[in-house]
Amino acid sequence: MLLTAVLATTLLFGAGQRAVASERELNRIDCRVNSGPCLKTAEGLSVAFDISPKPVKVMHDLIFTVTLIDNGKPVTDASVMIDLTMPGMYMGKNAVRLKRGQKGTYTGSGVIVRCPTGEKIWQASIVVRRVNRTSVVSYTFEVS
Amino acid sequence: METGYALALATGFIGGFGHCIGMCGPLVASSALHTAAIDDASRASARIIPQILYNAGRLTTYGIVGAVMGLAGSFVNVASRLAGIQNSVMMIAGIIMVVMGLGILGLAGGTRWLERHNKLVLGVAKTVFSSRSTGRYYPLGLVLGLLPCGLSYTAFIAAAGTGTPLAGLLTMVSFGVGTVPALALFGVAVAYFGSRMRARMQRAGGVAVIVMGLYYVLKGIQLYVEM
Repeated sequence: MLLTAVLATTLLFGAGQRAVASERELNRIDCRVNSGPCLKTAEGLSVAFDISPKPVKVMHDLIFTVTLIDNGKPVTDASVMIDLTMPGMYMGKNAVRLKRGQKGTYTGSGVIVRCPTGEKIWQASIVVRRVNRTSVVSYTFEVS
Repeated sequence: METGYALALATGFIGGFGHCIGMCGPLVASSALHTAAIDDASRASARIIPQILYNAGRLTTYGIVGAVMGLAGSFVNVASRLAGIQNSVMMIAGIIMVVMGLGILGLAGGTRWLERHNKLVLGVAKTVFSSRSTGRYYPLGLVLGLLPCGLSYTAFIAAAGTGTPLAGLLTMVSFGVGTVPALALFGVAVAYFGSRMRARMQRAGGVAVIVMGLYYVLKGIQLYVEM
């Protein structure tokens, strides 16, 4: 019976942990990415985040867009990267590098991978590097 | 480019302990327990060689898919074509685990019933269960290397990003090598304890393996529904 318990735990511990994490993260969703761009401000820097096409689906080519406004002016001198992670589950390094566009807009293409457990909550940590200043803004969102 | 391989290796190593044991551990445990119950796993080589061959098979599949990803230069194009196969592999893995569980319980009739009624699994089941050679673990690894896995998907994205078949292959082999320590150690440990189990505990292990197999089958069906 001990072995049964050990083996079942191997399977269920991960699933249980994910279920608890999922419930917790569900409450932490702060970006309804399918409804439109999400906006946060960090140290005076306004960071708008969006993904297209909608609805945002896993295993599809996606366009990530970040728009930066600092004190009412578009930020045109930043280096922007998005680090995609799944809360509660290590999924490897999935980073999207964004290219500078016009009026403080940065875009890049990437993929959000499918987790066979059915988890659909992801976190995008947007890393904005400027001269003598690095800002990180995170959004937690759900994908289809 | 070398940095990319090192990153893939590190991703595999960290993910091996943090992700793979949770996701693929039940499958590895089933295989190791089956080895312990059916074969003589009292010798160290009998516990280690199956793990080496299983992982070699898995690495071969990773390498081939990585090369295709690198050649295509697109993760989504290749992954969408592989999705159906991968979901089938998830179900096949579950069925194999159920069969292994039946084998551990000494119910070989279940294996014969399965072979009669499911042609899809027949080829894999025959290779894995009819042969008494340790070599059967290599084809098992080849097939199960296609299991759908979020961590390996991330590595495949990197492989596709390399833009060449060779670099794609090397990226995925680096990733796969990184995952080997965790999965091989886990498998060897389960085979070691499995070979020392008494009959009643071994039966309990068989039941656990069947339950886990059914979980994999259900997950495979769920993935099909979600496609």
